[in-house]
Amino acid sequence: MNINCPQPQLVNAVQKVYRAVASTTTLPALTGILLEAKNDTLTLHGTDLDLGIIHSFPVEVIEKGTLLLPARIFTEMVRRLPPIPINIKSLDNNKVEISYHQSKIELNNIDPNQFPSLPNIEGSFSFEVEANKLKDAIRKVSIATGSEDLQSVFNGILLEIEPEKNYFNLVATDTHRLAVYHNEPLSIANEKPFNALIANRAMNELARLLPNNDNKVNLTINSNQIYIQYESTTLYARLMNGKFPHYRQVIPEKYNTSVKLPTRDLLDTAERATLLAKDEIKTRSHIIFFEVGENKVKVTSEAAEVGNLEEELPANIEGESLKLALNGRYLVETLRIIDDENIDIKMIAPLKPIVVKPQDNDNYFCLILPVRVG
Amino acid sequence: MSNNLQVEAGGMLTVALAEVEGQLNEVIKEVRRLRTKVRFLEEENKRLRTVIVSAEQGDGGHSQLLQLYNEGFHICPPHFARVRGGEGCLFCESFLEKKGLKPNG
Repeated sequence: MNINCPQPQLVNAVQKVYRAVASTTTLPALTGILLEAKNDTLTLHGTDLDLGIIHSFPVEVIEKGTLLLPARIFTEMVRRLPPIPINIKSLDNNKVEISYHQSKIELNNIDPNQFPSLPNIEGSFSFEVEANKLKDAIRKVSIATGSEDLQSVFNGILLEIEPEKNYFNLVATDTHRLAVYHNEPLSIANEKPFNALIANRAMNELARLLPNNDNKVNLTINSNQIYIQYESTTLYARLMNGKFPHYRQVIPEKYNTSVKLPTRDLLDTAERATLLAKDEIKTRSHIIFFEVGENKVKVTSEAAEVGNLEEELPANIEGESLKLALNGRYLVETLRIIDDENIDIKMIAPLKPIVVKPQDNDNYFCLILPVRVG
Repeated sequence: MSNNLQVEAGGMLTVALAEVEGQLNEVIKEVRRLRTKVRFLEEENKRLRTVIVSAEQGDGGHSQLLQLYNEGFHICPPHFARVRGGEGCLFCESFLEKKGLKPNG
């Protein structure tokens, strides 16, 4: 292989695929980035078998070929090269020469035949959605994922597609809270509904890679993989095993109280209250009290050895007064990802789940279970 | 010449040993993780057996489920018989409500 390419484009490509490279593995080939040059294009590929990222960009190909370079050192080295055209060529002695100006670096090449081949990209289901919509959806639901066991379904995000009603849902839960995002895709290629459970890590990498524009992203799903393509980047991930719980059964059908107030005001108050609500015992930490009164809500918190906080916020209240305790961290994380100016919090009783949603938007809500205290 | 060859062979052996050591560490980590998992599953299995036996003898198991919940274990399908943290579980709460069961506290 022998190519000429500008350093800035190479850095951009390397940093994209490096995130999928295995950090700990017993297979040395997975610690490398595969470079494949042909048809005036350089394609980089990194994978740890659970997640893979492929990115292509135009380069001058003098001689086509394939290389597998140690990812960490190659990435760090390319980042530190001057922003000028560089030449990468394979040498006879199983080494690779990277040259720029009058200088050169030689790196050992790993045997590219050891690198896993791309899983079969053909899928049974596919749909298209705008990049910014998907990015926003992932950001909004991934806060509710969480489990110590990485293979647990609670570290996954459920994707539901309903072609007949033309919508898709992203759902995540850690059993203490549940986040649901609902929206319309650009198109769905199938007629039957389908689901896929995708690891939160893969979805977060996708959100990081996606641009903030309304360009089209194509998602293809088969029985064990999902492929997501946009522009010249592809991300693929192994689907998670396990059954996502029947989440609809935990969503209350009616509420007794509705509190409408500016998102920013409650976020600032909740952040201050949570900051104070520290406790050495994990389960008692971050607990704040939320009291709904007449045209106002009172937020309080206390820590035995630090002090206490009490704030009142004017709000538009409908329904019964009540007081509940909840993990302030969950409320803060939810309020942070709601971009709308006003929120609506719906409640039933002190120990029943509350719903936090944008006031004028039904695309998203987060259900939070209050905590028992005393 | 033969000295150079010896040095080169020694260097290669050191690299190979370091690689083997790295791989061995990964295997040891995996064995530790599996041991913990096995212990956890054995405990869970024991609890499940108790619940099943009680359910077969009693009122369809609801009172045993409530007892299990009050003792600090999940009774929801996703986490059944696993230890609950101090925080509540949406799925356990939903199950309790559906069955009309009232937990302590």
